[in-house]
Amino acid sequence: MKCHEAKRHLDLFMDGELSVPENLKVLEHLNLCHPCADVYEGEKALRALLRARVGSGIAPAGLVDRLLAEEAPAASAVAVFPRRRWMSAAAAAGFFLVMLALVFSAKDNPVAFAYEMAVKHQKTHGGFCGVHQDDSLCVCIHCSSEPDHAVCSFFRTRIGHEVGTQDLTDLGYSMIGAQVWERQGSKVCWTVYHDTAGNTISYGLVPTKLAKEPGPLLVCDGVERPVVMIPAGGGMTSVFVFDSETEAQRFRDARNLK
Amino acid sequence: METQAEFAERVKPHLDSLYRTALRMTGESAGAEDLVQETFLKAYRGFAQFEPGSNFKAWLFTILTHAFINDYRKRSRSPLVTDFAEVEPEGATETPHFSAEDVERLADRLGDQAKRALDRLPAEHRLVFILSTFEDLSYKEISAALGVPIGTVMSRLFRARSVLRRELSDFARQEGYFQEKSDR
Repeated sequence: MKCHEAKRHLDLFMDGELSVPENLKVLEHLNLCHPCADVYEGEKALRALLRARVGSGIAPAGLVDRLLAEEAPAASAVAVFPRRRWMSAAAAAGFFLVMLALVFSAKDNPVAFAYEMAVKHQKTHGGFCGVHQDDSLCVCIHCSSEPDHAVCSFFRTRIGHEVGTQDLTDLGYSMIGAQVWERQGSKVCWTVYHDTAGNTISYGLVPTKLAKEPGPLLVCDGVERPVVMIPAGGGMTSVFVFDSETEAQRFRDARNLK
Repeated sequence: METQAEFAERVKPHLDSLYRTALRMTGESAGAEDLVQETFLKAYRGFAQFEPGSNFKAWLFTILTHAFINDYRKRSRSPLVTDFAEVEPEGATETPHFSAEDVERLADRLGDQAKRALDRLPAEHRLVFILSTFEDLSYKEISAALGVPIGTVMSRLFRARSVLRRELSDFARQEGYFQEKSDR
């Protein structure tokens, strides 16, 4: 890619609107070309300045309460909501997607599904985040910690929904990203965790009927992968895929599972 | 009113975004509150139509945009139309670029020039700029919210950015420190 092309693509790049190959080409150019990198840095700084000075106002305190108080009588008559008290809203959204996806694939073998998931995560979590294939993406911790980063915004705009998560910090794992891909026309979403030693846990919530006959181990690229399933309520099961039996056992011990 | 509380929880994380966008579009806090209120009510009533899995924030902004264009602007009888000829001088085709150091110096001296420059943009351009640059909506989402083709979103965004850059560089030049590069 030439300088003039990189500059012409810069706004689209920063807005996260380039195709994956184009995006990589711009990234590559910015890494090699100092003048273009300077333009990029300037533009990034300008956007951050504008965002801070003009785009960062907050709503008056108590606005939600005032809105609710005013709208309650009119709105209550027409509201139709699913009740999801047993999960957080974010988890519910993730659950909903996984379930949607799985409704279409309920005849599938759960082991095959978990296997496919594990292969996906291995392919897509080689140490950096991004759209790795046309149908899969992840958002890593660097993106979460630097929300104004162009790469972050590129990926974030492609996650059109919230995801379910697990707190695994007591085991030394932190979430590196949510991963979404299409499965039989629907989006499937899993979260992925890394520890400092490079071990990975993939987590997803799936209908119990799919999860009820898990194989004790999954084979992924020649590596056997242990799976732990925990009933999550609401007809759902939490599925955890581990790198090794040692890590799986550590998890079982920490959660008092046999 | 548990369902209402759930809805409120869902909207709360986006309330600041809705409010500051409404403020930049209406130019006054009372108008902004009205617009957010209208958005809130319409979103609440239409929540059953929200498609799970799609972007909730983008959905809220679609409602806000409709409320602004269809109701607020008609009611306020001030269509806020600014011709681009007023803000974009003839023949100004080159877009200056700032270096990160320029921006740092600019940050020290910038008062409300940026705000005023943004407010002077035609409403449609301002809205596209805000939704993209401040609220991180994708072109596709903005295109859906405004009901215009993606190409229109892109051209509005391009022009809005050109004008803002030029206004800020004019200001920086008056202040006498700007090392501009107009090579794009």
